[in-house]
Amino acid sequence: MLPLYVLARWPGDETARKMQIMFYRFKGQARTSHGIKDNLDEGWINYTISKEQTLPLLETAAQAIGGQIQRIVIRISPQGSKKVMRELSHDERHFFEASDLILIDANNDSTYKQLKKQLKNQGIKTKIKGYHERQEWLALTNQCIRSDKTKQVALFLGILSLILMRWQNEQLIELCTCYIGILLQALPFLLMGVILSSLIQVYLSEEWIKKVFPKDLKKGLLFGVVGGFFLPVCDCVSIPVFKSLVKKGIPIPAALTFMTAAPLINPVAILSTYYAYPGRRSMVIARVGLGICCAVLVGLCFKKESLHHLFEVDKQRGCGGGHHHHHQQFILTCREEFFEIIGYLLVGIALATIFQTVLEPYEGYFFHQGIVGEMLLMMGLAFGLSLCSSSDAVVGKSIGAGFSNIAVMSFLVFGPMLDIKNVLLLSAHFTKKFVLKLSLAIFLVCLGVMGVAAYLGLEGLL
Amino acid sequence: MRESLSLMVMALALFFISYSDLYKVYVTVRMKPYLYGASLMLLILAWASVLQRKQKHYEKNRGNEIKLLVPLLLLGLSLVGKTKGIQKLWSGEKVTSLQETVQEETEQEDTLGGYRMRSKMFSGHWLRGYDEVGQRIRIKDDEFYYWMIELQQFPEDFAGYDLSFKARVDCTEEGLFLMREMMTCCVADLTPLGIIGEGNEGDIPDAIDWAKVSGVLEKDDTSKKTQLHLRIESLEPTVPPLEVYIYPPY
Repeated sequence: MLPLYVLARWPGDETARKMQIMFYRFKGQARTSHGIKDNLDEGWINYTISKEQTLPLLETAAQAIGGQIQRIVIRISPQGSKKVMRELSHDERHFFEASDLILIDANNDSTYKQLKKQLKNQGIKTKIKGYHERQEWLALTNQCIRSDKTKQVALFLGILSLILMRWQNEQLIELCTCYIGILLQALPFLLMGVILSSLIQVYLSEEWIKKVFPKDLKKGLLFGVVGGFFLPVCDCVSIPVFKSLVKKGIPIPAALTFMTAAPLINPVAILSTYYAYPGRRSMVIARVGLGICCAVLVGLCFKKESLHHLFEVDKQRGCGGGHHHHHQQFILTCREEFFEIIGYLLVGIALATIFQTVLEPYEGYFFHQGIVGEMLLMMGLAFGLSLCSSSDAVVGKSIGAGFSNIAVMSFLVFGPMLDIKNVLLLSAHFTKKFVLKLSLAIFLVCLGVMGVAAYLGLEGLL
Repeated sequence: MRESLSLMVMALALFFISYSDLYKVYVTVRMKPYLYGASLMLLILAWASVLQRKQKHYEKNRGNEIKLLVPLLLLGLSLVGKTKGIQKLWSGEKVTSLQETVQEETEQEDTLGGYRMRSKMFSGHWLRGYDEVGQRIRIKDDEFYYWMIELQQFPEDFAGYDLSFKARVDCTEEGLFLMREMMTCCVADLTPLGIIGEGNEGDIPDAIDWAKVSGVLEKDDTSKKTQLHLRIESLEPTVPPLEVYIYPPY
C-alpha cells in the first residue's frame, strides 16, 4: 500500500460546500530543507471533495489509487477562518477531530485565538497551530508528516532508564513500586470498564435503551442507585460505563447517580468497610446512606444538563451489520476505548503517587483543625491519595485515628466519588467545563451533606 | 505494528509477575486472577491492533505505542531494585537462612495445640501455636493478622501469656512498634498492624529491621480502653517471612 498524506484546504467559498484536497506521496530520496513540494512526489492528485462524509470519501479515493492515508493536515485559509466561526456540522467536526494537525491563519491574532477557542469548545482535541505565510504552513505540514515521536520518546526513555538504573536509590524504587502498585490495582478494572463500555456501545441500541429505561426522574435515580449496588466495581469501571450510558441516551442525572454511587455502595466496598470497622455497623450504614444521599443530590444538580453534543464526534463508530461484524466492531471499540483512557489513568496515577510521597512526612500536622477544617482536610486527602474504594476504609481508619468520625466519613464518601484519577479519566471523555462543574458539585454536595449530618448529631451515633 | 508489540510486551510482563508471584510486592493476592485476565485482555487488544491495521481505515496518530512505555520502564526499575534488595537480604551473614526458619516454625507448630477464634468476623477460624496450659502463643507468619485481631478484641484473656512472633521493628514515641504491614488492595495503602513493645534500650540492636520477638503480654493501664503491650524478653534479627506483607482475607 502506498503511504498517502492528505492536505485539506478549507476555503472561504461556503456556497460550494466543497474543500480542496491534495494527496501527496513521498519521493523517498528527495529531501531539501525548504518547501513541502520539494519533498513530495510531483504526481499528487488535486481535486475537490464534498464536506459531507469527508473521511469515507477520502478513504475510497485513496484506495482507488492503491494508497492508504497516513496523516491528514487541514489548513484554514484567511477567508475560511470566518466561515468556521460557527457551529460545525457533524461531518465537519468528525473530519476536524480525525485530522493530525489544524493550521489557522494567524495574521489576525484575535481571529486566530477566537477560532482556536471555538474549535476547542466544540470538543476538537487535534493540535492547532497558527501560520503567517506560505513557507510557514509548508514547514509545519512537513514537520507533522515527517515526525516520528515514537522513536524519539523511546530513545529518551531508554537513555533515562539506563541513567535511573545506574543511580537508583531506595526512594526512587519505592516511588516506582507505589506507581506500579496503583497501576496493577487499577488496570484490570479499567479493562473491565472498557469491556462493559464497549458492550453497551456496540450491542445495545439507543432505541432499545430508550424503550426500556424509565422516563420518570425518580425511577431513573433509583436505577442509578440499584445499578450501583449490583455492580461490584470501582471508579475505574464506573466512569467508562457512565460515558457509554450517556452516549446511549440515558438521562444524565440517572447515569451520574450510578457513576458516583457504584464505587461506594457495591458489596465489595460495604464488606471492606465492615471489616475495617469491626463491630461498628453504624459506620457501614452511615457510609452507604450518606453515599446514596450524595449520589442522588449530585445527579439532581445536573437535571437540565445535556451532553449529547460532546459525543457526536465519534458516534459513527457503532453500526449495524451481521454478527461477525458486531464482534469485530466490539474488539476494535475495546482497543479504541482503552487507548483513549489509558494515558489519563497513567498521569492520574503519577500525580497520586507524588501526592502520597510528598504528604507522608506531614500527616501528623493535620489534627485538631475544627470539624469543618478536619472534613476539608480529609476530603483533600481522599482526593489526592486516589485510593480504590475497596481499600480506602482501612486507610481511612488508619490515618483518621486522631480525627472526628464525621471527618473520617467525609474521607470515605468523597474519595470514591472524586479523586485525581477520576478527574483525569473524566477529562478523557468530557469537556473541561463539564469536569470542573461536576467536580465542584460533588465537592459541595459532600461537604453540605456531611455538614448537615454533623449538625444533626451523627458524630455521636458513629 | 509497534502498538501491538507494546501491548504484547505489557501482557507478557503482567503474566510474568503474576506467574512468578512477584505481583505480591505490588498488590494483594486476590488480584492474581484479575492480572491474568488483564494479561489476556491486553493480548486480545494487541490482536485488535493488527486487525485495525488490516482494515486499512485511516486512524489519527495518537502515539498509542508510547503510552505503555512509561509503565513498562517503571516496572523494570522497580523489579530490578526489588530483586537487588532481595539478593542483598539473602546474602546477609547475621541472619539465619530462610529454610532454617521455616523448619523451626514447623517444629514449634507440632509441639503446640490449636485455638478457635472468638472474634465475630472470623468466629470458629482455627489458629495454630496455642498452648493454654503453658500460657504460650507462637504466632505463625501466615496467622499474624488473625492473632492481632484476637489480641485486640480480647486483651483481658491474653494478659500474662508468653508471645513470640516475627515482625518489623519500628521506633515510635510510645516505644518499639512490632508490626507487619497490611496490604488491603495495593502497596499504596499499606497499613501497619502490630503491638507496642517495651524493653531495655541497651538490649535492642541498632538498625534492626525484621526480628524474632518474644516476651510477655501485659495490660496497659494508662489508656481508657484495655490494651496489651509486650514486655520484650528477646529480640533477634531475622529474615523477612516468605510473604512480607499481610493480605487480609477480604
